[in-house]
Order: sequence, then C-alpha cells, then structure tokens
Amino acid sequence: MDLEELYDRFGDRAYHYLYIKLGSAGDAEDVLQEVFYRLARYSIRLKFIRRPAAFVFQIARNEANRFLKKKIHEKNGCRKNTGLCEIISNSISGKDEESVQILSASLAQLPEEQREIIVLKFFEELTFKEIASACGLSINTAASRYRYGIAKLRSLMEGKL
Amino acid sequence: MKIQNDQKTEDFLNNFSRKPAPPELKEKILNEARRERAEKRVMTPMLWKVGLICSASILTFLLLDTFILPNQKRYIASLVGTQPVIRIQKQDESLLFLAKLLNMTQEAENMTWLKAKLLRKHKSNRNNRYEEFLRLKEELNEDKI
Repeated sequence: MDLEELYDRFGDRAYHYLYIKLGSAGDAEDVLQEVFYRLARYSIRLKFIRRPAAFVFQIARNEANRFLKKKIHEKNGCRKNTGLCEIISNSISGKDEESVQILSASLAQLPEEQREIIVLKFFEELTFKEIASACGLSINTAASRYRYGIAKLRSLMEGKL
Repeated sequence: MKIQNDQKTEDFLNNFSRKPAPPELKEKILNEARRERAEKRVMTPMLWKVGLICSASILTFLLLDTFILPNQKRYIASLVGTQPVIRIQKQDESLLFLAKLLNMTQEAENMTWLKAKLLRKHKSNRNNRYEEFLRLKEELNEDKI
C-alpha cells in the first residue's frame, strides 16, 4: 500500500477526526502532514501493515496528543476548549441545519473519551477492533465507552428533537 | 426499552456524515510527504547496488565453501599452512620422488617413517622431544640390524 492509496482510504477521515479533536482546520492540516511524514518514513514497512485503518488513526491520535501537549505547555497549562459545538457543526452535514446543531451541541457536552469513540465509530467508520487498536484500549473498554456515550447523547438530545 | 432508545439514537446518528476535506489538501500533504521521504532517505540507489553486490558475493562464497571437496579443503589448508601434517606429507612425497630418482629409496623411506612417528608423538611429548628423537633413532638402528 503506497502513500496515495493510504490517503485515498484514510486521509479525509483522519483530517475530520483531527479537526474535531484539535478544534482548528489549520492545526488539523499540520498534524495530518506530520502523520503522512511519519508514514512516508515507514516506506517499505507500509506493505506489511495488517490493519491500515487502525495504524493510520493510531498515528493520527498520537500526533494529535503530542501537538496538544505542546500547545498546552506553551500556554502554561490551560487549553481553551471553546467553540467545540461550532467546530463539530462545521464538520458534519445532515438532513437539516437544526438537527446538525442539536447533535453538535450534544456531542460537545460529552466527555472527550466518549466523544472520540463515537466520532471514530460513526463519522470515521472504524470497527470496535480498529478503535481499540488506535486508542490503545481493549475492545470491551471501547465498546463500553461507546455505550455510555450513546446513552448520554440520548439523554442530552431528549426533548430537543 | 433502553436498547430500543439507544438503537434510535444510533439510527439518528446514521443520518449524518462528515464534510469532505478541502480538495487541494491531498496534493499538498502527499507532495510534502514525498519530498520528506526523498530528503531523509537512508538507502540511495547506489547504496542498494553496493548492498546487493556484497550480499551476492557473500552468498557465492558460502555456497562454494559448502560444495568444495574435503580433500581440496585440506590441500588448500596445507598450502596456507594451517595443517602441518598435510604439509609434511606433501614434502615427504616430493622427497620420496627425488630419492627414487637418485636411487636412495631406502634412506628416504627411513627418514619419512621417523618423521611420521615424531609427528604422532609431537603433541603428547612436547617437552621430551629430544629424548624421544634419540629413542626412536635407536629403535630404527635396531630395526636395521
């Protein structure tokens, strides 16, 4: 599998995931670039990857965490998480604007680890096995976070739809 | 009831999809990645060639070494000097040949016999080499008588 094929299969999905995780299109592009630098350095070994989706998202997640750590360190330990709702609504499309807004507001209120699993499952179309591998979790943990996330999302959206 | 509601939530979520990434992003990312790969490449085409030639040479050497006859190995070792027994044998053969030419076969055979015996005793009696030599000489004289 070469770089172009990897990008065609996972580039857009990884960008979307990074955009929601980092909250900025510019940062998402920078981190995605780092991800592909890293993949380019793997060169021959890319042919032997068994689960490419999990591999790419694991690198993307690690790079995003490294980026955030650096950013937090530069800003003396405080990370602004404002406008998450707006970021999510800019990155997804639905049948009507109102439902997009409701879903974005609800997703923004979820704990980060639950939101991450739901985003990976629904928008990036990863399986639980791939999510677990990418996030360094067991499959059961990933599945239970997903279930809690869905339950919380349902309670947040109740009465709004 | 809860499962049904969760199922509804999942169905609701399935109505949404991600927006596509900017169209020029792919070219930008891939060009940069390729440039990075070209810059930081460890194995240049020249290094690949050198590596292949070295590997082929080593492989050929190992194969030849496996298939070479044991006698040839011994002969080569004698020429190199790692096996003195063979070297002496070869010298003795030449000596016998020379002795035949000079009609001194008996003397040459005696010398060869003495040398061979000495060589057999060499390892075990390194310290008493001289005494052993004398003893063997006497033995030879007795044999002659």
